[in-house]
Amino acid sequence: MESESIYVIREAYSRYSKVAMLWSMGKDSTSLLWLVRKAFLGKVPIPVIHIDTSYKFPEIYAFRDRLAKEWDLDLRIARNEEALAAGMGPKKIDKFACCNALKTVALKQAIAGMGFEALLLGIRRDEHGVRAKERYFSPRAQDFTWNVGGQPPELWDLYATVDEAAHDRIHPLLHMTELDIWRYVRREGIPVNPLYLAKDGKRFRSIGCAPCCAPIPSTATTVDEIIAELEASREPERAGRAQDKENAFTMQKLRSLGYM
Amino acid sequence: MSSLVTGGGEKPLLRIAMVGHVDHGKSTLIGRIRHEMSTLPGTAAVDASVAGNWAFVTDQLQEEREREMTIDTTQTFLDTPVCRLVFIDVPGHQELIQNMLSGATRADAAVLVLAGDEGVQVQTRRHALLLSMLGIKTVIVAVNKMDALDRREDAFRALERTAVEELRALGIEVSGVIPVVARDGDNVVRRSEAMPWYDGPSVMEAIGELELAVAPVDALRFPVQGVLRHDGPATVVGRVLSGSVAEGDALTVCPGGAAVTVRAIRRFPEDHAPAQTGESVGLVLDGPEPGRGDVLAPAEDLPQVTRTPAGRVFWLAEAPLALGEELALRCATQAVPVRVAAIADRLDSATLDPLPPGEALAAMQLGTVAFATERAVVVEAFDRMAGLGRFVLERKGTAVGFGIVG
Repeated sequence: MESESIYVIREAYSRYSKVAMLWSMGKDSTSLLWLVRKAFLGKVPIPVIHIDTSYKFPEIYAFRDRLAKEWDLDLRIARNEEALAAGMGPKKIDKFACCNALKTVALKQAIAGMGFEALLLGIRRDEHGVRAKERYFSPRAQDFTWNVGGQPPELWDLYATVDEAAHDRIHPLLHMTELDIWRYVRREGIPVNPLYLAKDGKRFRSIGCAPCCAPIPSTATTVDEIIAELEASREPERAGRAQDKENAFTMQKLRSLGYM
Repeated sequence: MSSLVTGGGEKPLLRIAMVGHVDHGKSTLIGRIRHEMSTLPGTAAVDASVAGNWAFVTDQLQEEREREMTIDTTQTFLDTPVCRLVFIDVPGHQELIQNMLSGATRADAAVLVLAGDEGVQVQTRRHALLLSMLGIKTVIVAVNKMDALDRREDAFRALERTAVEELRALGIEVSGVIPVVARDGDNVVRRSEAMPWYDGPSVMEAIGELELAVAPVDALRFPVQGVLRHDGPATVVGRVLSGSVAEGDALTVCPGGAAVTVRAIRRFPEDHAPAQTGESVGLVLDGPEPGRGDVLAPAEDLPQVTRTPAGRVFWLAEAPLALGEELALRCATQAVPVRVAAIADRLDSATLDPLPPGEALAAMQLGTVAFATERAVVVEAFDRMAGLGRFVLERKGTAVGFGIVG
């Protein structure tokens, strides 16, 4: 599984001249970052972009700054300053508009500003029914849209998209499940954001913006305990995420507009 | 053929594509399996709102639910006590064959779903042909919608005979034919009491008994992905396609023919050797530096190096492939401009009937295509070395067809 991810990362690096990765400091994109280090034998030769909605948990910012220093990252922060200045937030309008403005639009601004041809992202097929339809190499149009019904064929590991794509999204973790990630974190000793570990009987299973993430009841205070808990659980991973619940097709709409 | 992948002491991984004609019940079968198997530890329960409409487990796009038809391929995961299963759902509609292939090229085995009331249809045949081309020769047939045939044995036996014969003609030896009612769960996970005349395994039991062929050779093949020059000596990175590589190995760079020796095998955070099949590593070499697309192999067992590669090609794009056309051929990490030199033995994938000689391949047609190229390419017979025996043809960076080297 690891080798497949490294293969995808190296294909992206060999085939595009301007590549970056998105890092949310969650378990998936931190594992992706670790895999980038493995692919390039300890270095992270590409910029690492954090899409900062400003609503993240303080623990997320602390984790980011610590690893950026330890791993010598070329960290770029992308914020939709205009929307933030205008007071955009999850309580201001609806969550769909907030996610779109503070994440998708911020990402658009970053890509336009820095001219990236390809972005590595830590999404996985088992996270969500719509993400289950993704390809390893997935083209996005100029307006960022994802034409989920008309994706170009992806045959074996001979990854291809379309020449006219504005940028391509690369998904090296697509084949991994939530449990795979935690087992990989344990095997490799990848640093874990403290929000994932239980405090006062609660922990976060999926982390994002503070106002839109609810913790789950849990006593798991170590990675081993998280794995044991998940092995016994039947709740879906993103049950604590607001965005998914509001409307059955919200994720599809967000993603077709360019959401991660 | 791919072998069971067991990297790093993990449980074996088995990827199963559900193929067959549109509306014969591929997604329903996956959804029903997923529902019944969600008692497995660590498996999320299926959303209660899809009960009875099991296809919605994988058909999660708005358009898919409205049209009650799979549009794009989906993968769903099951972690069983003995192996990790990945079910790959693919669309049955003929206009969506590219999405079917995006799923099926990732599979080790397949379940061919056949609706009892309709029998073998155009897409049943086409999907079976594609399985055969892709080297997926471990196939279970699920005869679905047995309720429409009153769960009768004689009706099932007739379909069983037809399916087995048609698949055998394509070189596929069926691993079992199972009467199923996917919607109700008959012979899906548990054996059905409503068809007492059938005493074989359920679909899940049959999957559990599958044995996959192992790759026939283990000579080293190391396609070069790129060269890293951060600091220290240049490091050639790639994934071991076959065989293993150790420090001190003397290798030949194909197609050029230069001799190199492996000085070190590099990994992060710690180097260790040797590197086995499937592992992504870095090599520090003594000798002329190879580049992306080159393949490293031992001098005593080299792959084929040719300026006239050829193979059976299945064409996908609306605009046909024409004699004389120039396009890109990709194989392993190679990307080479090629010209179409000859097209022969054309076949209609809907009927499997031969077509009259012609100078083009239209969408959904199959033919033997010979190419000419200025630059030598490294290929190998698909049956011997799958990773160097399959190629994709690209126009403007998009895959428009694929081929198998005979």
